[in-house]
This record gives sequence, structure tokens and C-alpha cells, in this order.
Amino acid sequence: MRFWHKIFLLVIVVFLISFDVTAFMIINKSYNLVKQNDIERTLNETRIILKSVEDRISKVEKYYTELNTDNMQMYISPYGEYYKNQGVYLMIRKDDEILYSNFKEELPNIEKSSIEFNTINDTPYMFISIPFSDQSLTFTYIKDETILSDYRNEMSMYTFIISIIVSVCLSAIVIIMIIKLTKPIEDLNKTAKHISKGNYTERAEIKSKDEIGEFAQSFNTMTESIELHIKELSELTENKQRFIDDLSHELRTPIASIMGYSEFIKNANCTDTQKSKAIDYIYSESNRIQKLSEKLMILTSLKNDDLQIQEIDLHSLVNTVLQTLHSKISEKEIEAVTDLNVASVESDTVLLESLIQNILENAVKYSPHSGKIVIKSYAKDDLLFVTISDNGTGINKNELQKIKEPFYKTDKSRSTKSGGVGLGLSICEKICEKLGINMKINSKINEGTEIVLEFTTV
Amino acid sequence: MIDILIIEDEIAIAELLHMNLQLVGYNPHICEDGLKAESYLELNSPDLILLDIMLPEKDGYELLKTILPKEIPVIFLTAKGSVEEKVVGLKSGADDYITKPFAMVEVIARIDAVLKRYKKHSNKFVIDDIEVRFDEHKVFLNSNEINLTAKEFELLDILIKNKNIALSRDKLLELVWGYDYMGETRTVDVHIQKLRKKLSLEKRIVTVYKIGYRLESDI
Repeated sequence: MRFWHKIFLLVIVVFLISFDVTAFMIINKSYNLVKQNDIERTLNETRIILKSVEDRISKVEKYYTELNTDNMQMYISPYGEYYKNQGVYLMIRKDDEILYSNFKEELPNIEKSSIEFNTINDTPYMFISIPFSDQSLTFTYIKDETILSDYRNEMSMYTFIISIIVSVCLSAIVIIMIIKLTKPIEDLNKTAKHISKGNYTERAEIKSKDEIGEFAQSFNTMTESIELHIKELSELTENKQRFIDDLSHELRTPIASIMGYSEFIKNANCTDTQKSKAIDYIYSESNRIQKLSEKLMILTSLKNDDLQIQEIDLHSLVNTVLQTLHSKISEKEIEAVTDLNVASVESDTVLLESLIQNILENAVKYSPHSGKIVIKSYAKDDLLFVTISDNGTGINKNELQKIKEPFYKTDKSRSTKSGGVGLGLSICEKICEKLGINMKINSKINEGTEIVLEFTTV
Repeated sequence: MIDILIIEDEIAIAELLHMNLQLVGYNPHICEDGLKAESYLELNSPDLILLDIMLPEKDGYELLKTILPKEIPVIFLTAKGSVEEKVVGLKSGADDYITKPFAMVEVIARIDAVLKRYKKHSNKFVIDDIEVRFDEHKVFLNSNEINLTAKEFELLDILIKNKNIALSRDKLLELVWGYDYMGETRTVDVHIQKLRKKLSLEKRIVTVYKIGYRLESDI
């Protein structure tokens, strides 16, 4: 059953019951009042008639020793005839014997002093019996009460018709109102269905400030948060997909070279110079794949490893890294300067070392011959900063936005020659995320690059 | 000599193509990025271009727009292997699409097919006293026409197209007789023998141990 069916039925049933019960009670009350009134009036009338009848009889009694039906008929019939025209019948009894009666119907048993209502042949009558003042006779006044009972019936019928008309009107009003009231719910339902089909940008229209309006409001809030989550999710999968695409591209190129050169050596009628060239390429390209897999391993292990936070001596850490890169640094005759004002930091040794090594590797890579690399640490506003700057080639603004993307290389041919796979900064980014470090890159073309590590809470 | 321009930023791949194409008798030239290729194309007009899509400075699609008016056939050469990419590549006006990693035989075959379509391939090949006229399907030894069967001629054609590169018996079977040919690799040996005898190419058609056959000529 639809919601509006329920409301509709409920309203109509409640209306009919309350209206009819009220109407019935009012009719009953009014009927009783009218009846009471009627009884009193009739009683008075009866007394008056009785008085005059008694007078007449008392006058007549002087002539007749005995009262019987015949003489009663004679005395009373003028009254009887007179009242009969007004729907009133008279009867005089002596004990149970009827001395006079102009009532044609069969009489029920009537008490000597009573007010009774009886229905004879579908006609309601009121019987008022009063004994004569000397108790010798009983006078009964019989009144046709059809008008009174008709009044009640007519009132009931009228009420019934009114209630039907009103309920029809009411139904129409109720239906229109329900439709108006449930329209926003219907709309919400439609919107919800749209959304469930994946149309996450759809919103419910808020038309009122009542509960339904509030509901629409919270519905919209919910949809917004769903949309946001879906967006985040799809962005995440998109990023992953792009990573995989890029990775497969990065793998295809060296594999294509390796396959091609080995095929060349195998099949071609080539000179020794060509052959050794091919072998060199095979070697360097496999080296590239090996480097790539190494970096990938670091990236994946970053996702799993738990942190081991401890007090780290920056001096020894930087020295270790410089030692590792010693051959490359001395090859280019680069001057590495350390200026560590803050000597210790709380972090994870392995990750921090890997981070600084990656950054330094890049610095060395892009530094000119006999360049200068400066590693600084200092405290500012209760925060620890480590900066690594070089006077190398620098990165232009457009590329600055892209360099953190996996596999992005600023100078492809050069980085390929030096063995870069384009994952260094991605790794740095991931490590920073894990260690709670803000990494900023400031760079100017031909002036150098500065990487600022801001250690927030660990 | 047919000039082929290789536009490829991966030096290893570019060199590989260069070496192979030189071997089979083309005249290749390498450009490492889009801008270099553009300036090269202003002065030169190669017969065919092998074009990588992902290039620094100017990518393959952009470059293709400037190449198309010159009516130089273009074969895309890329690591992007998805069907959508291929469709985009071909729709943009390239003549063919090769994905990395590739087999050299395939690249050579495709280059040959595209050149044929543009009628740019050489219709004559001369080695020692032999002259092969591809258009006429005729072979001359010391100016005397030699009768070759259709299969023999096709085999010779394939060997010439891939000269200085060894082809396996299976590859030859596939290229000359087709994928669905159920014959044995012995068929190849028999036909090679006949070719050698008819054209006295004993020294030129070399048996490469454990691999197959190679037509050797001077580069």
C-alpha cells in the first residue's frame, strides 16, 4: 500500500467515525429534549382535558347513578371527536374495563398512572394515563408521535447525506494535499534512483524548510561525500593505472632494445664493431631494467615497512650518504659542504638515509663539473629544516609541477645515459609522506635547485 | 638509395633501427627529438619516416601534422600498445603502426609494404652478375633470363629485402608459403638449393648455423 493510500484511508475513516458519532449524539440529545418538551406539554394538556372531563362527568353523575359505556360515549364523544382530528385519542377505563375509547387499534396493557410509548402498526404513540381525582376512573391520553420519530429519522438521514458529501470533498482535498506533501519525497526518490545509477553529480532540490527539506539537505550532504569518495577512489585507480601504463612503457623500451640487439647479433651479417656496440647496448639496457626493479622494490617496500623512530645523528647520516656517493662526487670534482646547526632528529634511519641519498644523487647528477652542493640543517619556529642545494642546471616552472610524477624525466636522453629511471622523486615523496616531512623544491634555471625538508611531527 | 628518417628519443632503439636498416640497404638518419626532426625535414625529404609518439619538445602526433602535407609515408613506432592508441595513430594519418618490442623482420616488411604502396621501392636489385627486376618478376644472370618458379622468386625477394640478416627456416616458410602452409622446413632447404644452383649464389646465400639462411651483400 502506498504511503498516500494509508494517509488517505486514515483521514477518511477518522473523519467518518468522528463526524457520525458526534452527529448521532447531537441528534439524540436534541430528540430527547424535544420529546421531554412534548411529554410535558402533553401532560399539561392531558390534565386540562382530564379536568374538563371530570367536571362534565361530575355534573352528569348527578343524573346517573352508574357510569357505563353508553353514557360515557355520550358524554365524552364530543371531546373525543374534537381531539381525534388533532391526532389525539382519549380513553376512560374503570379498572380494566374500557368505558370509552376512540382509539381503533388494539391496546397494549397500560398502567393506571403512567407515561408510555408504544408502537402499534408502525405508528409510535404516547400513552399518558392519569387516574381521576377520586381514583374511580383512569383517563388515558393517546397521542400520535409520528412527527417526533420522523424528526429523528430525517435528522439521521440528513447527517448521513452530509457526511457523504463532506467526505467526497474531503477526499479530494486530502488527495491534493497528500500529493503536494509527498511530491518532495517522490522527487528525492527519483534523485536517489538516478544517483544509484552512478550519476553522482545529481542533487536533490530543496523546496521547503520542513522535515522533508532537512532530509533533502542531509541527503545532498550524503551524496556530496559519496561523490567525493568516488572521485578520490577513481583518482587513486587512475593514478595506479597510469603508474602501471608508465611502468610497462618504461619496461618495453629497454626490452625492445635488448631483444632487438640480441636478434641483431644472432642474425645479422655484422662487423665486430657493430657487434660490440650491440653488446654494450644490451648491457646498459639490462642495467636500466635492473635499476628500475630496484627502485620499484623500494617503492613497494615503503608501503609495508613499519617505522622505527629513533634519535638520529645528522652528521653521521649525511657522511654515510656522501661516502656512498663518493665516487660520483669526486668524479665531477664537486664540493660538498655541510652546515648542520641542528645535529639530531627523531626519525627512521633507513628511510631518512634513502631520502637524503635520493636527493643528493639528483643534486650530483644535475651539478656542473666542480659544482657545489650545500647541506644545511637549522631550527625555525620550533620546526627543523634540512635543505640541500646545488648550483646545477635547475628545473623550469612547467617541469617543476611534473617532476614528482613517476617516470617523469626532465632530460630524457641525459638521465637515461646516467641510469635514471624517473622514480627518484616519487620515492622521496613517498618517504616524506611516511615520515611527516614537507618537501619543497625551489629552482631557477641555470642557478640551481634547493630542496627544503620541513620536519613536522613524527 | 632510399632515405629513412628515424625520429626516436631512445638512443638504443634509434641505433638499433639505424644498424638494421643500413644492413638491408636503406640510408637511415636519426633525429632525437621533434624540433631536430622538424629542422631536418626543412632541408631534407626522406622517403619514409619512422616516428616515435612520445618525444621530447614536440610529440609524434604534433609532428605528424607538419609531415602529412609533405606526403612522406609515416610509420608510428611506439611503446603504447593499446588498441585505442593504434586506432588514434592510424586515424591521424600514419601509414602503419608498430609497437615495441618489435622484430626487425616485421619492421622491414612493413617498411617495404609502405614503400611499395607509394611506389618508392627500388624495382631493381643487382648483385654480382645477377639482376632482379621486381616489377617484371624477372631475374637475369649475365643478361640471360633465368626461369624461376613463383615460390623461388618470392623466396629470393624476401632474402633480398632482408639481406645481411639471417632468417630462420620457419620465418621463411611463414613469409613465402604463408601461415597455414603445413609443409616441412625441408621445403625451404630444397628451394634454397635450387636458387643457389640456378643463380650460382652458393657464396651469397649463406647457411647460418642453427638459424637459417642469409643473403650476404656488401653494404
